Amino acid sequence: MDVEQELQAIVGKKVKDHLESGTKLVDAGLDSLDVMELAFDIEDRFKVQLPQIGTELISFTYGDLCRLVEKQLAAKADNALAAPSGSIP
Amino acid sequence: MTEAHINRIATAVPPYDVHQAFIQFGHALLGGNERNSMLFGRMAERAGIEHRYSYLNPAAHPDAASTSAYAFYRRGDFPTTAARMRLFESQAPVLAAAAVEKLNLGAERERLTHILITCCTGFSAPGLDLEIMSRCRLPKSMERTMIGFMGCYAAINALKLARHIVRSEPTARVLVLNLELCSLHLQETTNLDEILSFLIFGDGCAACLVTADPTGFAMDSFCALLVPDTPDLITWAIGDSGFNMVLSGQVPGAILDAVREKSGQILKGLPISAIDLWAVHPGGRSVLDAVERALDLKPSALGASRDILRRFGNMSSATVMFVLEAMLRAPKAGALGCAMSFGPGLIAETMLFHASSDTGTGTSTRQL
Repeated sequence: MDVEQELQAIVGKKVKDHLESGTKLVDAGLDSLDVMELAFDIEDRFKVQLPQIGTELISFTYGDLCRLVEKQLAAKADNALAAPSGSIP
Repeated sequence: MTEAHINRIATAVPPYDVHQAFIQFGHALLGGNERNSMLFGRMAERAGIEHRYSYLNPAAHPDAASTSAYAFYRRGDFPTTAARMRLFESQAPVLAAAAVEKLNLGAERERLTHILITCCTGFSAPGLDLEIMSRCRLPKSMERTMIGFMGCYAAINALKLARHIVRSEPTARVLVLNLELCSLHLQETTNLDEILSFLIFGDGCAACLVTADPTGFAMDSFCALLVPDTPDLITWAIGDSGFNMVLSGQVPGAILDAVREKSGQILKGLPISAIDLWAVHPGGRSVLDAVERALDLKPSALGASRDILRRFGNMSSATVMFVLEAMLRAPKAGALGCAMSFGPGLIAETMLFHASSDTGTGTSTRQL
């Protein structure tokens, strides 16, 4: 399952309809607490920290959200590559 | 033209650390709503705040000399505005005097010519200006100015005014005070957004000396940036039960867009890389994240602001001065700085400054 599919599954717990990329989360019927909860669900699933977590996410489109998660996953992968492979005694 | 300098800054906070107690109180206010309680707990974990201070004592058995936080904020009977202002009148001068004394003015206190005070969390008359002059034995001839109810950016306005005074009157010695008792304005509510806004605010006071003496930080220029169509995002109004705040979740996004779009205006054409010191008002973690993203700063650039947020929370107008005080302790001569605060409007008030060759001395924060 790719990131987009997993996100649809997470968002699908709160929104019945399949979200198009340009659909704003607020227009999909999510309120400020829903998006906060959604952000924490995403963080837990992907083990990333989203820079936006509060109600500012509500103005995001579903596409914005996908790009944000992909960006955080890429940053996480970069950090993992940059980290030393062994520990210093 | 005479150059105005922030020679010294001193800070003080009240004696009681209330942050952890407030988190428990916040859960109680949510009244058993498990979903909201979970969200509140997680937001508290990532707020980037570990301590906030107040004159309200959260101890289970407070000493006789202190005011119990739980007696003041009794469920079902939160205090009136008048009751809150009575506490302000008794405690604000104590905190202000502590900060002024830490400036170690000595004989210099007789030479002070002006006092400027910013405050948006309490009012009375005769006010803080006269009370502080009396307590700190300041000259009775001082010119006094109160800068009231401007919110978190007021310190920058006060510095701007102090600079104008010194430039027009080079012998002027201006005492600037930024005092806020934010913890007096907690509201009884079950609204999670409101409780989250209470999670970030604490009490504190900064005092600084602005003169033409070439020590400390020289104030180079200022910029006031009004963000269009955002008057409803931060509001602060006097209610019957304390002062009421609206702090929209859209604030960080609006700040990000404005700072990114107007960075050239804020920096007067300087490249972002020219700035060594970023003294950004830590209005909350999301505000700092927004500025960091807007200017594509390294994570370490806002280290001083994040440290003040962690140690004291958002103390409204006093906060950016705490950040500047930390920077003033270890300045590099010639380093360029940009200070930035945000508040109702929305407005970003910014200041460019540089470290003088002969730097002043910072002081640690006094906890009363």
